[in-house]
Amino acid sequence: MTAAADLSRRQLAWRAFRSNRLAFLSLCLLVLLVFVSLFAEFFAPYTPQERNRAYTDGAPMGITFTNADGGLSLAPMVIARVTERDPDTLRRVTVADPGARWPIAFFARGESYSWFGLFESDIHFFGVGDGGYLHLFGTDRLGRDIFSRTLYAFRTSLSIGLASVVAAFVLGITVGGIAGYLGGIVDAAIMRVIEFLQSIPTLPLWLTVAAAVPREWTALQIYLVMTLILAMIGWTTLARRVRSRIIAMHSDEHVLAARLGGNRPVRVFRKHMLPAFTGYLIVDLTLAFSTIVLAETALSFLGLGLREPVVSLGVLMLPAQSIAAIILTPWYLIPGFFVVIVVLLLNFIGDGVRDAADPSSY
Amino acid sequence: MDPIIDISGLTLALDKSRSLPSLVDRLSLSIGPGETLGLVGESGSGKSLTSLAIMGLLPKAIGATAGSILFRSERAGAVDLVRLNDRRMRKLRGREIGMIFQEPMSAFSLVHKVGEQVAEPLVLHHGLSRKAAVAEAAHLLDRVGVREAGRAVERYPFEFSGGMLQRAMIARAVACTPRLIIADEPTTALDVTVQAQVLDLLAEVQREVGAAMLFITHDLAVASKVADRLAVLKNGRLVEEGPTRQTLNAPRHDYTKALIAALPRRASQTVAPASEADILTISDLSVSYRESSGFSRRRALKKVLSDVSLAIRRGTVTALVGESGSGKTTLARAALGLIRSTGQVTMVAADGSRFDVGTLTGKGLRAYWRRAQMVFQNPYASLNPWQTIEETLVEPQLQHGLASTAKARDTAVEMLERCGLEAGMMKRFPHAFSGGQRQRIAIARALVVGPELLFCDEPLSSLDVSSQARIIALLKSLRRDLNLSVLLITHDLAVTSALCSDVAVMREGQIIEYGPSDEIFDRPRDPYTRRLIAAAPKLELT
Amino acid sequence: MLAFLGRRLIAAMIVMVAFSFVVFFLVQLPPGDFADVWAASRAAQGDTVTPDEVENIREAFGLNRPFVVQYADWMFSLLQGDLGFSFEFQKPVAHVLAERLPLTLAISFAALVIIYLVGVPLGIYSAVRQHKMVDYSATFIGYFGLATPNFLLALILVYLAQRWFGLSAGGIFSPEYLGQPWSWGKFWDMLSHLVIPVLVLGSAGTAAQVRTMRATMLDELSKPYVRAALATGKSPWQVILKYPTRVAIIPIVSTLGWELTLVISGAPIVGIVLSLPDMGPVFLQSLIGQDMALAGVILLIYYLLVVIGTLISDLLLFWLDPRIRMGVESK
Repeated sequence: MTAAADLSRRQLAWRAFRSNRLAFLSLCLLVLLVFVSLFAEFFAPYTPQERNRAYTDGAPMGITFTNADGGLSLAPMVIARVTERDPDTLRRVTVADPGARWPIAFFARGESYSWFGLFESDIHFFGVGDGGYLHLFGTDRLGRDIFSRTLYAFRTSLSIGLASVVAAFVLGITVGGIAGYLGGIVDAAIMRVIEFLQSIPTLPLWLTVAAAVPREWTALQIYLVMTLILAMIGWTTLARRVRSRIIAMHSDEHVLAARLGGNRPVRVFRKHMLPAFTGYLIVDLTLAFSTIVLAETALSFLGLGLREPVVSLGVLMLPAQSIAAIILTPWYLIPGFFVVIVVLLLNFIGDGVRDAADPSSY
Repeated sequence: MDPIIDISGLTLALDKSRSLPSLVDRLSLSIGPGETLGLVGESGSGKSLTSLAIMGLLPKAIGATAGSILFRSERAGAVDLVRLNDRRMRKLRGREIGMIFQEPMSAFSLVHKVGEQVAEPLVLHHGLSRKAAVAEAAHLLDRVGVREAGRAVERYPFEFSGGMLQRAMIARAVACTPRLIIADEPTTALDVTVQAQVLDLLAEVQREVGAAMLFITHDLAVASKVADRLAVLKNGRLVEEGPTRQTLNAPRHDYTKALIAALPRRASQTVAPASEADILTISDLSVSYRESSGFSRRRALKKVLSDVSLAIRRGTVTALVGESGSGKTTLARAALGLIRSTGQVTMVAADGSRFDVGTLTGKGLRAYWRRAQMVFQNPYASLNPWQTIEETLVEPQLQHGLASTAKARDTAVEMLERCGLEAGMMKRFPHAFSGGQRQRIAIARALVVGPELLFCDEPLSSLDVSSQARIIALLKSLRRDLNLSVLLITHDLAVTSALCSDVAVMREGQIIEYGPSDEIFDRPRDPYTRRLIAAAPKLELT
Repeated sequence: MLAFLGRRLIAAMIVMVAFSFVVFFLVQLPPGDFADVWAASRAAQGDTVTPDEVENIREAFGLNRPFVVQYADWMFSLLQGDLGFSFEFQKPVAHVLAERLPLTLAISFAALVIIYLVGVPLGIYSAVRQHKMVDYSATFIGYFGLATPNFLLALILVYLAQRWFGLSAGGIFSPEYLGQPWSWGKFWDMLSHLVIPVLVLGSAGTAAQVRTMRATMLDELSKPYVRAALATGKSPWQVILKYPTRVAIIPIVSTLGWELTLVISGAPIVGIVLSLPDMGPVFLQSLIGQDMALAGVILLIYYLLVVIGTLISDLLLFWLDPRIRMGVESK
């Protein structure tokens, strides 16, 4: 290891971040999740609208390493299912057949897909051969694979979150920057407006706005409107923080020294204010991101956000609204845990960055 | 007579790492009744830890690994404070040992009334009712010189001045007539004039109560005023102990000698006035802020500087002296055009070019800053933590369009070496340096653009005594070699007399006295200046 | 005191007017107006509606007047107690809400009490016992409380209640008490049904409160006045409860209005998921049906609650913080 004295502040911050095991692990996990969902077409064994009529509202199927005869095998398998008639009710039911196994194949062929129109393929990371099926998280009422849909939904939720965060960020940094830089009456006016916006209970307000969206709009239009609505939820906090930091930094001795050193205003901001800013901004961004993901889920869950055929984590849980559904098919809730995981990861990363950006930590 | 407190072989260390050097190492001290021991040392020498060990209030991570603190209690007889359990310790705290803390503003809770907080030990130890205790607190406050004590007990700390609050803290510490008073840097946070009054009060109260006193300070001059004996601490070790006069006149240990030598003395040499021409003329300079007051968000115009006029002669060091909040820093920043002001500031450069600072913007200001630079107060905040020393020193030259990169680098190295650092340190970042080193870098940064005029804003106040002395020497030699004109802002009269040929005294945004250094020190006209000079602690040598 | 109260009241009024403006704007937002809705409903019944008829309706209800005039009209009738008519429920808005408002208030208030009653002591305790078991578990639970969407928590609790306790969660009465006269049994049954909504609604707030209280307390505990108070001989817990707690409680109280905002924000979803007969499901239904008269009034009620909460928190602060009372500048 190099002596701390010779490292740059950025290297030190990265080292401090990495030594925070929870934060670093969270970052790795998030990167992994993003990677998998980015290639959802490949990693998901099914496409989001593909139906398995033999296994509707089916419970999650586990992976086993024991053969039908009880022996161990290295290759993963699932216990086969058979559909039979219930002798009493004469209804068709699907039950496990402990005597049979469906082996899991990697790079298996399935339904063909096109990855963002760039390439087409029918190879999936895993799947089971002809006649068999594998639903890790179960299926919904139409027999669609919840695991596959969760991967796609994860991508949608993250992408809309990211788009909203970027929009909120641009809005926040512009408005906050203007307020902080100009000061005086402009600042006071902007701050009053922001205080007012922050005192409004956000969810009912945006529910109302979302409800006003015309029914006949296309999925893409709704996606864009949702992005804006979600951005509106996040920008005020960002604007406030940017403003207070700019004001505080204006009289920082090293910023004054930079001005005396002949730096023009833009360079003062870029070279002498922004670096110290970045750490805090990342923290604020991760937190805004998690708020937005939560908000999207809530809106879509209530049927006022994204709608089918777009799948987001909130959309996936829409059928879980009725209590009967939860009790009979609790696996509808599984996508919800991904929301919890993302928000947790973002919070852990945010905390890690905060500590690493704090100069007193090393 | 038996000593009230007898510390022997006290060793304090971080609990978990006995391998690390002890924070306080085999310290032995004793203080008799009515005696004051001055415990002197720089920050981190372990003096505050010692006082906390006596109070049994050490941070959880630190513990006494050896030694004893024998305290002759009035009620419990002789007890070893290191081994006393918490319940019995609590009976001594506030009752037999009173403690005075450094910053009165933060040592009181701002949301509780002063009377209630001063009365606390009386309620606890004398079993007084709350009402009776507050009445008694009023009596105590009156004794320590708080005006209108009857009303003062109903007030909150933020309604007090620092000096008054420190008096209240003394009242709280002596409320139960303790046998030992611990004063931990009791005047460091106070202005000079207030400091003198508080020191007098402390001595008086101690006499009245007849207690032993442990007086902790980093300031030898202050210690020499109050202490009967001095103990000098360095890196947790006692290096010298003896009667005050004797220690100061004939220090035995090198470290004590260095500390004494580091104290700035009055310069006997009057700096030869190079030329009579003024390099900077300030006339009728005013700065006011709109500040929001309280929750009503009403905005009041507050004048920080009003109609200040001042001239700096070329080739001299002019001191701007005043207590905190008197507007010194504002004056410097306004004179540099860093903040908005009204009035006139004119600089005439050596080549004859004139700068009317008030009228300058953008390009003009940058041209001015090539000639006028500033060294800031806090070296921990004034260097950009994201730039290496090289970048810090090269950037101003490039931005001011003074040199090519290669030449700027050479200038940077030269200036760095001149300021007492090595060229090999150029690639490092500020966090790798100590406070004194950082201040040298900051000085080098101000000087690389070759200014004629240098503003130094309290360049010493966040440094230890020994690095202070070295920075003073550096400033002296740089001024001579580079023919600088300097405006030195300071609250410390000792520094002023050592360096400056002219002195301006500021108070509440105005300059109340201004003239040659000798004249101001020998024949101060303004009563405030007189008080300031009288109050400044001087090393009392015979 | 009176001047302070007066200023706050005026500020609250201004905010309320601003809120009402926003609400009215939203009410007007969906494409089409009352006349179109009327026409659509007539058409649905098989009647033919001529454009003239629609225009007449528009004229009669003043729907083609300028926005501001309509707003003033709307506000005026609201202030007179005329809340409008709900198409979705075919009842006056006042009737729809009268049945549901008390429950919403009760649940929100109970959640708020839980948030402070649990959050504050737990925050203090985990700050004092920093890096101890309680602190770690509180932090851990806090993270989950913040990360779990309210509705998911509600769904999970419903599932668990059903599985483990055989409770028919959802609604506020078990089937056997429906339509029964009030009795102790029925009262208990109702209380047991309210536990989940209150817990769910309070979870995120409690987690946030523990976090804030812990951070503020840690900050305060390291301040010199704590050590100075210990130096008078008080016991550690006496000192903690008297000084830093008192200081740390101030920022907590100042967030009361904001906390109420959060609770109010979460309330509709919880009501919907647990199918409580409170305002939540009505709100959702009115939104989905674009019954903006009802939705607007519900929004206004939510906002009124927030404004009242902020007012209360201001008054509490005035009482708690001498710096505000004295009008001293605060940092």
